Amino acid sequence: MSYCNYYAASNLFHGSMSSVMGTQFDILMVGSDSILLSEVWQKIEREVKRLDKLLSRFDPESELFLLNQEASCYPMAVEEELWNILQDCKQYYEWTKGCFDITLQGFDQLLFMEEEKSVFFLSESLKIDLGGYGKGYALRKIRDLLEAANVEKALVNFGNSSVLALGSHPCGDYWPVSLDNPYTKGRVADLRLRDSSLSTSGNMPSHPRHIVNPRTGMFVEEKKMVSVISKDPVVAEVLTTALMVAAEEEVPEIISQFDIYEKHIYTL
Amino acid sequence: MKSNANAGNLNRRDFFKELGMIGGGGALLSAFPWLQSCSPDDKIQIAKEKVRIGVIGTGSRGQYHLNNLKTIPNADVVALCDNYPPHLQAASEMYPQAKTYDDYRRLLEDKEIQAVMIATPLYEHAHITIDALHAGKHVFCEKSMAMTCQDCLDMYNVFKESGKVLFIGQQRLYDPKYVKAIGMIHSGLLGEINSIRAYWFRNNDWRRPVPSPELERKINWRLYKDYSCGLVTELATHQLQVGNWALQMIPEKVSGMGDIIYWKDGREVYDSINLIYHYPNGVKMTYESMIANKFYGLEEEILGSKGTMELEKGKYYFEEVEPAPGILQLINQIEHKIFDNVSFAGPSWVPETASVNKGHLIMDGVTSITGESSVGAMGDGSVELVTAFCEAAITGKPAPNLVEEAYYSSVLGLLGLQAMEEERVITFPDEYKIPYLNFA
Repeated sequence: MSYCNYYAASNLFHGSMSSVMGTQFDILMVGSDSILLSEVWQKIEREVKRLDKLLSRFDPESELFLLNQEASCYPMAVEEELWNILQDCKQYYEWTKGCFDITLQGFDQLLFMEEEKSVFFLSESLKIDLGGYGKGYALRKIRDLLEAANVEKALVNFGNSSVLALGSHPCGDYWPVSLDNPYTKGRVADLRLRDSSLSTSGNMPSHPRHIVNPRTGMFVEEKKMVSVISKDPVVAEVLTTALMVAAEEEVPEIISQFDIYEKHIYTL
Repeated sequence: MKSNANAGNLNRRDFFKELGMIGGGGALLSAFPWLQSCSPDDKIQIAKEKVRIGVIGTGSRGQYHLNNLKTIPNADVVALCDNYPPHLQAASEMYPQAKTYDDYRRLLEDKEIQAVMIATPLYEHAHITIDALHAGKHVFCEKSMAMTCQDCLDMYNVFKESGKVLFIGQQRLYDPKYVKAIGMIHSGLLGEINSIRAYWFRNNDWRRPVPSPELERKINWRLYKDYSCGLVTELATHQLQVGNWALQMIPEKVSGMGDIIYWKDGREVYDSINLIYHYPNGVKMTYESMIANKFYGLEEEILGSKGTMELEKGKYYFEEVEPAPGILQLINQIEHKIFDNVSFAGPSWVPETASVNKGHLIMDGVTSITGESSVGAMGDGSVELVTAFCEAAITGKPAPNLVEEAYYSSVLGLLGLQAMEEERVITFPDEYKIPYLNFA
């Protein structure tokens, strides 16, 4: 389900998709050329749906689904895009000292064969889940589409937890975005986004146990929320997940590996 | 867009310009083909041309159109016709240069006249339209088309044979609010459509003052069966068309009941009607009109599996999942040039479960009408409709599907009346099916 609307008086294009990558997607683009913006919107819509299909481990038609089914029996060759994503995730696994792990049980049970670009699972129970990576990756692709079309001001909201800001709000120097405490609804921070991405991860009263610590296999049960602002939406996405499970003393070393603008760790 | 005192009208015109670009590059326009009867090239070519129009029937609705025609650059009103002198006089005062006639046949003989607009009582629609088409004129006829299904069919057939332009006054087809809303419905915003409820309530006797008793039937023609079919032709047809438009289907059965319950003043037409239209997929459109209570006004409610739309109010409501509320707030702020923090970021998106669902507007600057006027309302698509007619009369290109939409709403109103009068379920008669949608 998707729809869009152009608010001519304020040169504002709103596109919205529900039920994509498991959440709601909204984009605001500022510009006077409504034809161009609706073309960009169509490209974005197609791209997000394509990625949803590529990265979903629940869709029987996705490449990842097939990989999860077959790769414990034989080394399965994957397409270049998925290969690059998995290599990217390997890098992040190392940089986060295992706090970011798309296998949730042991990245070292993944065997990569460079020459054939194939993947083999050493454990039969191993499954890859790109849930903590996909929205950041999608935002990176969307940013490329927006830049290619010379859209200078845009705000993309992927389910509230992943936000991409290009340029500024039409009436200011940045996009003002605030963060609420999901337990008290009180305001936690007023953030300024400009050519940057914000990712937030944490527990909520409705979902108190939904983040797994890959190093222990246990749920994170603290009332905790992490926000990261960085230029690269994937970095923000990966780091928030990692910092949710990292021990306090590991945090400085982990973030030293990344180029980020701001990080906020809240105890709620 | 430019803003000035006339911003409302500008935005409406811009809206149609942009229709082709929003919602899937021309998808809207191909769904509503009557809107592209005049291509941008045509528009440039005919920009300085005027169509010479004769207006037949210059009562309240005729004068409403005459007033609108003054704002339409392509229109040149050259003749006026009415057989009731006070109405002709009133119209003549608006257009002193226009020739006047008391017999439409004389007007049709005037070779100078290229197009006519018919705003007579219902019983005169069919023969005047047919005579005008035979006389080589382009025709705009008010809705409903006619008093019998056969007359509607004759009008349709003569129109098809003539190669001329015929428009029927179903202005919602040109109302930006409706065009946008139906586009959203067709795109799946509401999920599957499972029910349609339409109603029109007023609280008045529907009478006009009569200068002397022998003029009662001439002035209050709406109340007598020889001249009118009452609420089904005067009110229901507008809304039945909306139901078909939303569903892209024509119902195959209708039943209902009609009575005179309150205005027992010698009138012959019902003041209370309830109808149920049954579509081939089992969806029902219920229709109610009653003119002794106005509290609920008028509405067409489209009930889908994912949401609900109230077209007259221009609002829609999601059944369960609301779009991220922060984004709607941000849009609202940008529209009002407000730069302020909007709090929407968080661990993940959790649907709002507010107990009061206030809904969303179909488009900015949405207007709605009370439905109390029996003449016509501002901003309801009438100006766009008549503008499109003038353009089509100059290019000679009929508006695709427009007559078909109007035909089925007119015939469905008449079948509803038959169902009430005969107190039985009426199945859509094969002989009155014209090729369109599920009856193609």
